[in-house]
Amino acid sequence: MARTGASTAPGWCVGLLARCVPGRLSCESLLGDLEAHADELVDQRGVLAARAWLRWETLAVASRYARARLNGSLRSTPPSPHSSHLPDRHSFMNTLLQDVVYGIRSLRSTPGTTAALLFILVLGIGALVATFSLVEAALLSPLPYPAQERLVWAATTFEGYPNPVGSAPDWADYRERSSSFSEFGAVTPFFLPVTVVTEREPSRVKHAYATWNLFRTLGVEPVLGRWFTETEGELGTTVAMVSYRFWQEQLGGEADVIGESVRVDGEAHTLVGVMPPDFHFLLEVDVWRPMQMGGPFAGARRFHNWLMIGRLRDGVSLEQAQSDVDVISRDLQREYPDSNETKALALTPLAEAITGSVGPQLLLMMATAGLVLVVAGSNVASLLLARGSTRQAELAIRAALGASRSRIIRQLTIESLVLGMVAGVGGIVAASWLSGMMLRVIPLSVLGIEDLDMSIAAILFGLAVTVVISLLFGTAPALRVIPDRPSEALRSGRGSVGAGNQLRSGLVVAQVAVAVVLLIGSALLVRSFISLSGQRPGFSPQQLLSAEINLSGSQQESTDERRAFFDELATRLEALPGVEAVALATQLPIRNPGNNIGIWDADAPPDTVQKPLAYQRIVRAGYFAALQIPLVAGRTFDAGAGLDGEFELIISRDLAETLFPGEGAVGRRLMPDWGGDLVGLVVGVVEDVRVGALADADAPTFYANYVRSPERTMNIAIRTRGVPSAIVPELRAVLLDLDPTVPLGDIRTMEDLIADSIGQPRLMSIAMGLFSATALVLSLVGLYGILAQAVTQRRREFGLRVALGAERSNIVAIVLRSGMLRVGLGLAVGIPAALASTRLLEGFLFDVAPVDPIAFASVAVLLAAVGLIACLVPAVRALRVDPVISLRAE
Amino acid sequence: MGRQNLLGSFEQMVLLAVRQVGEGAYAPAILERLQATMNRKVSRGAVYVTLDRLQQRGLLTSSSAPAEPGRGGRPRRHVQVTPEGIQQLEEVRAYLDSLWDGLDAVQED
Repeated sequence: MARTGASTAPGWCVGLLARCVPGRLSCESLLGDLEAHADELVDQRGVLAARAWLRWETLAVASRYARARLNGSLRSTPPSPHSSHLPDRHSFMNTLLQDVVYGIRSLRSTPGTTAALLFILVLGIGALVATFSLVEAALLSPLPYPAQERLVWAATTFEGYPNPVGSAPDWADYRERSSSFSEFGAVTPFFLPVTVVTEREPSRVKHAYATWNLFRTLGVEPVLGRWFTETEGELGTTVAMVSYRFWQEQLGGEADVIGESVRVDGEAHTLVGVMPPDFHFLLEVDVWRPMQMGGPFAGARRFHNWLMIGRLRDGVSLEQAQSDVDVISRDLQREYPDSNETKALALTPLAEAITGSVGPQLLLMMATAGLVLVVAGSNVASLLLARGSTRQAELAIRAALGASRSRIIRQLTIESLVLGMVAGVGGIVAASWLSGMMLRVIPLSVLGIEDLDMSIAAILFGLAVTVVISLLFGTAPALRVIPDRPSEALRSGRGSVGAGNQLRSGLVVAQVAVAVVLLIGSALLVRSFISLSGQRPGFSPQQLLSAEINLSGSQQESTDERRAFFDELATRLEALPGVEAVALATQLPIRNPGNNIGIWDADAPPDTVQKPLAYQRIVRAGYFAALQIPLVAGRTFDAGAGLDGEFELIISRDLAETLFPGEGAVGRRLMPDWGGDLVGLVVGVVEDVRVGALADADAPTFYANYVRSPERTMNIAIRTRGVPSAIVPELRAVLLDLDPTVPLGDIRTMEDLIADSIGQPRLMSIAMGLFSATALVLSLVGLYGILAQAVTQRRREFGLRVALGAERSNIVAIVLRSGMLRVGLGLAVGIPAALASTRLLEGFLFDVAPVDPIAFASVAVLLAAVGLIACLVPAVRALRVDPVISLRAE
Repeated sequence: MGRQNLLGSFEQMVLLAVRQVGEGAYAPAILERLQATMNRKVSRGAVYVTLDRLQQRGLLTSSSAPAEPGRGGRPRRHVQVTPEGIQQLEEVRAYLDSLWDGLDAVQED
């Protein structure tokens, strides 16, 4: 007869008997007898019964042997002439190997539990290691510049409030007068797209201005050519440096490109250097041109466009440098009261300034992942404890057979390490995949990190976490189940499970508390996200297609030509059947943020300091209708207005209320801070529009008619009748027909742009939601597990109670009470903990307080509800206890 | 003769059952025999432990019967009472007999 699976003794049975029964023949034949009997049982009572019998009988026989050895009636092993009482050199490695094999065997004997434990641990470790690798890359690895710890960011402050950027003349003064810096450079922290024509083909690339000494300040040498020189920082020379990528892709990567001429926005520039492939500073830039005093962005002291970076001289501390620049700031305040009256400079270590924006997010994620791992680990502990109480007999037998306490501890440690290591390796593999997803939640492109490989440090961290988790949640609880007096444990057939149960109960309370904290955190983020996505942008983003049109490389040189081109483009597009309206503007809301300057009442100029700021937008007539921005007062630009009429302005409601509180704005005259004496007449007031992200508050804005100054780069927004992207081929055709050299850049629907602008908060709340949902599920599993076991253990008591006339509802109440007590305790610990910790979230919340009562209350209700469900199942099971059966079972 | 411990009653029963089963006696058969005789359930573990103890005391020998089909390659252990075992059984019987001597009549009264 072929042996069925049911009648084959599992590994642990074989192992157990091998340890108990003296002599190989006795043991093997015993197994054979047991299996043969189980085989017969398969036919008589079925597979399950046979299987159960085999396991039970093995335990029973083994425990007989153990007791016989304990009381000395049976010798451990047959005496052998070779036996010796001296410790064997090899025995340590031998028993270690045995322990590992035994550990694997005992894990394999409960495949369901083992798989569950592994899954939980792999997820927990994976999440923590993934966040760690981000933290390591962003916060622990130094910036990739030589002696980066000496680099400081010099932020301009107004009345003590920092403004990231400073003005070019201020930069020159600080550089010249300060003795604290070996170099002091600056760069535009935004890029300006330019069209570069090389010998190969024209291309649209990202470009920034940098002071001639920026790369010297950072200490990064070009791979080819040289740095800018000081004379190239003066007006008149036209030179450029390029990125390694640009050199490879656009210049063919040839060594002789230095000295060659490239056309940048139509102007010939001499190429002087190529930066190394891994060079990155704040932005991904392909072409740098030197800042030239009096040139672009480097005019008056009141224009702040430059991010300033200094390299501290050797031996100069940050504090010394700060007091040095403070003296200069005071001098500048005296010398230029118009522009510098409240201006100063604040120095911060560059690494801190750069990582400052992502640091809190990363640490929050890591803390969250750590908490989830703690919940996962305590679930593992709980499951091991549950398993431990069934393993008491086995452990008692082993103790009886002469295994010392330390030997059993070692065995249990190795067993949890075996489990932990498998989970750890799985977790590290999972982390390498998860870290890619994390990068989408917390982009690190500002640090030049687009992609992450698992570093050695991350792998070591993962292994360390694994060992700690294994010891903390594997071995420590296992120690609780080692019987103190093995003979008693054997005789009663079960050990003292009480201690383990108390520990498990405490773990469940802790899990619920952690789940409460995480759930409240994610409830806050979700509420914040909802209120964020509920923000109205101030215009109608539906069926709106946007793109950039740039004339810098084309023949449209004069303003007349440009105006004619854009007018013709708009007219032709508006004639298309799928197009409802067309808007043209230097900057579109959400798509192109930034660019604010001073503007004031021309008839009542403010004192020198307090000049109100507003965003400036040059728009073509029809803009407000196309974007559906409502008119509040007055009128919009007249489509037929020419150059000869009055210079007209339209302002946002916000700006109108700032400049003319409680008065009508229409008909007033405003002076934008353009450095001339051009005064505009306010002809209308429109509703506020979000300039950048949806989270930004409404921003004061003024609009000028583009007839006077059509820029080279205009953004177009097309209101379509159908799907916005369907119009793209026709848009291309029209543009190609007008001028084939004009590129169409970055075509996006407005709805996409808005979704992108809230993409990060969305991913963040999804990530937090997943983390806290995992914690919730794990803690419910823990709660359910402990109640289910309690019901099983108290079956006899329940049976007695029912037999003595207790109402069944009383039994249910007992179980529910004990479960809900733990949920209540968890809430009682978790809610104050959340109150204390959610303020860490403050910076991530939009329009929601960190102590938002709705979030707190809904989590409490949710937890009570799902907790009740987790308690109900075992409670109903307790209800089904038949007193006769449960009493007879004893 | 100063023997330290006399055969226990269960040990005697096991030894006798081994002899009753005779040639090819092995644990399950011995167990069955004991249960049939005593008309109650006997712990399997007790039988095995006792067999091993008796063997350690030299009252039994065991030999391995070749593996049979259906036992997954596991051997069957045949046990046999040694002359020493038989001698001890006889001794116990003699003690008991002498103790019983003259009591039967009283009992029947």
